[in-house]
Amino acid sequence: MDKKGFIKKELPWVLFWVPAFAVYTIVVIIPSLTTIGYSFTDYNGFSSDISFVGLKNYLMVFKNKAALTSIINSLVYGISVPILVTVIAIPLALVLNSKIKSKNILRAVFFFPSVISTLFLGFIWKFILSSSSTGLINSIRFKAGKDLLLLLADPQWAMPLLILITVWASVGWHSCIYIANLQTIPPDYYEAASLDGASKFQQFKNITLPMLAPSMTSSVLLLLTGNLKAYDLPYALTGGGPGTKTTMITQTIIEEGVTSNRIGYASAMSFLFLLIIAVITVSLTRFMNKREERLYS
Amino acid sequence: MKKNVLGKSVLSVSLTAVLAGTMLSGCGGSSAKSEAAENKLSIMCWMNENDFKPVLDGFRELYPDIEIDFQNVPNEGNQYQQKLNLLANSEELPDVYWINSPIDNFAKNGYMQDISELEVVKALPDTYQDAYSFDGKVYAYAPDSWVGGMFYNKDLYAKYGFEAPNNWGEFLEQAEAFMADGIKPISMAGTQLNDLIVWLHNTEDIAKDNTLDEKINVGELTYSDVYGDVMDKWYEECVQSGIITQDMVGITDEQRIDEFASEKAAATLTGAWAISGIMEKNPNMNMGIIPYVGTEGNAYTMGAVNIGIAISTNAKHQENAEKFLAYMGSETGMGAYQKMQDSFLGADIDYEVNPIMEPMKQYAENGQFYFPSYHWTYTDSMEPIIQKGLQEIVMGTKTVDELTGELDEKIAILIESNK
Repeated sequence: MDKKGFIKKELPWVLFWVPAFAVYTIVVIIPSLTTIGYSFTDYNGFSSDISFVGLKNYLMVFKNKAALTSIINSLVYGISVPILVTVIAIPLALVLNSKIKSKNILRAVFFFPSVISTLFLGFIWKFILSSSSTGLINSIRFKAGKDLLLLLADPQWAMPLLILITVWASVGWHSCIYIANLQTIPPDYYEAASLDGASKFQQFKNITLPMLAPSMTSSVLLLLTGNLKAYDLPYALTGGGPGTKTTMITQTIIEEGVTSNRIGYASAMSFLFLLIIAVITVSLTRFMNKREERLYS
Repeated sequence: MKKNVLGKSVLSVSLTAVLAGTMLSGCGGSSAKSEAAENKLSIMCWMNENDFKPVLDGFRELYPDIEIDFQNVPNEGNQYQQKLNLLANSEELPDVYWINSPIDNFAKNGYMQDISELEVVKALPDTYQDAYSFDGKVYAYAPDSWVGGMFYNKDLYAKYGFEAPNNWGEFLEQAEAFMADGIKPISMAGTQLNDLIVWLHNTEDIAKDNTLDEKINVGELTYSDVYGDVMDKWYEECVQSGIITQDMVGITDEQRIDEFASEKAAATLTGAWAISGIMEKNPNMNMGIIPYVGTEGNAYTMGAVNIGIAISTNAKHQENAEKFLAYMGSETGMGAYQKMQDSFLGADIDYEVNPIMEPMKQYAENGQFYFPSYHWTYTDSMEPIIQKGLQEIVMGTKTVDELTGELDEKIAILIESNK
C-alpha cells in the first residue's frame, strides 16, 4: 500500500481516537500522574515550598486508624452492594420479563429510583430514617406513644441501612441490563429443555444463568467500581456517621485533601485506593471472563 | 460511493475534533487583561444574594457603574471553606471574599491583601482587628460579632416553676426534672455535640485564661491538658446523666430546631440566626436567652468576631474592592449588614438587635464571648475528628481519653508538617 493509500485508510480512525485520547489525557491521565507525584511530597495546596518526603505519606496512611477504618468501610459497602443487587436483580428481571400483565408498570416502578439524583435520595431517606422525633418513622412512633428508634444513629444499623438503600436505588437499573440479556436467549432452548423434562429451576440453572453471564460481568463490574468510590449517597444519608461507621475513603480523602489542605497525604490515600480498586477489578474481570468462557464452552 | 462514505466520515470526525478543540480552548476563559479593564467587582460569600440584597443595593446606589458578580456558596458541611481553598489553589479567588478565622494559611501564603492601613480597618476596636491579624498585620475586615447562648422556652420553664438557670448546677437539676417527663433539656444535632463542652470550657477555663487554645496551636499545651477535665465532666454530667442521648448523633441542625420549636425540648444552644426559623415554626413561642453560666455562676457565653471580608492579593478590580470595603465600613453599609445578620457591632454607631437578643448585648460589648475553634490554627482538620469522636463517645464506642489522644496525635503531625 502506498503512503497516500495508508493515510486514506488510517486517517478516519486516527481522527476518531485522537480527540478522545486528548480529552482522556487531560482529564484523567495528567491529573492521575500529578496526584501520584504529589503523594511523595508535603504539598498543602497553598505553599509553593514543596519538599519530597518519600514514602512518609504512605506509611502515615497505614498508621492512621481513621483512614484504615474508612478503607474497610468502603470495601464492605463496595462489595456488599454488588452481591445483593445481583442476587435481587436477576430474579426481579425474570419476573419483569415474564408474561404478567403489570410488567410495564412494575418496570417503571423499579426503575424509578435510578432516575432520581443520588443526593436527593440520600436526603429523603435521611428524613425517613432520622433518629429525631421529627423524622418520618419516629414521628409516627412518637404520636403512637412508642419508643423512638435510633435507625441511622445506631452504630450497628447505619451501614446495613446504607447498603439496603443503595441496593434499592440500584436494583431496578441493573435488572434492566438482565432483562435486555434475557430477551436475547432463544426460546427454543427452553422448549427443548421442557421436552427433555427439565424443571423450571433446572432451566434457570442450566440455561438462564449461564446465558446471563455477559450481562452479569458488566453489571457486577459497574456496581463494584461505582460503589467502591461512592461518596454522594453515603455523605447525604449519614455524613459518614454515626462516628466513623459509614465514613468512606472518598470522604476521608476530601476531608484530608481539601478541608485540611494535606494534598500530599490525601494523594497517597487516593493512589493506594486506586491500587486496591485496580487489583479487585482486574481479578474480578479475569474471573468473570473465565466464567463466561467456561459457561459458553 | 465508497469514497463518498469515507469523505463523510472524515468530515464528521473533523467536526468532532474541531468541536472538542473549541470546547477545550473555551476552558481557558477570557483573558485576565480584558476582565480587569471592565468595571466589575467579584464577590463570594456564604450568605445568599436575597439576604444580601440590601447591602448590595446600598453599594450599587453609591457606585452605579460597577457591575457586581456575586457568588454564593452555602456553608453546609464546610463546603464554603473547601471552595475557597480550591479557588486559592488555582489562583482564581474573587476580588472580595468572606473568610472565617483562623486565616493563618491564607495570609501566610499570600492570598490576602494587607488592609491594616485602610481607614475603616483602623477604626475597629483591637479585638476585631486581632481576630483577623497575622504577623501583626490585619488581613480581613470584620465589623461585627455574633453572640449566642441558651435559648429556652419561657412558658415551659414557668410550668415547672423554674427561672432560667443561674449556674451549671441549676441547669443540671432542671434538666433532670425535664427528662423525668420525657422532655429533652437541650435539643442538639449530631454535629454540635461539643456545644456543652464549649459551655464548660468557656466558663471554667477561658474565663480564667483565654490563651489556652492558642497554646495548643504551638504545642505548648495538648488537647488532653486543656480539654481532658472538661470532657470528663461533660461525659459524666451530660452523657451519663442522659442530657445528651444517642439519638442526637443522627439529628440534623434543622431537626433540633424543630424539636425546640415543637416543645419537645426545653432549650437549645444557638445564636440570633435561628430566631426567625423558630418563630416561623412556632409563632407563639415565648423564648428567652441566657449566656453560658459556670459552676460558680459566672457568665462567659459562646460567640466570636464574625466572618471577615478580605481582598484577594491578585484582585482584578483592586480599586473597586477597596471601595467596597470602605462602603462596608460606612454607616449605611454597616447598618444594612448588621440588620441582615442581627449581630453586634464593633463600631460606634446606633443599631438595634432583635429584642430576644437584647440581654446578650452586654456580653458582646464586654467581650465575654468565646468559641474555641475560632482560635485553633488547624480547626478544619480538628473539627471532623472531634465531631466523629464525640459521636462515638455518646455511642459508647470510644472513650474521652482515646479522643483526646487522637487529637494530640493529629495536632502534633500538623504542627510538625507546618514548621
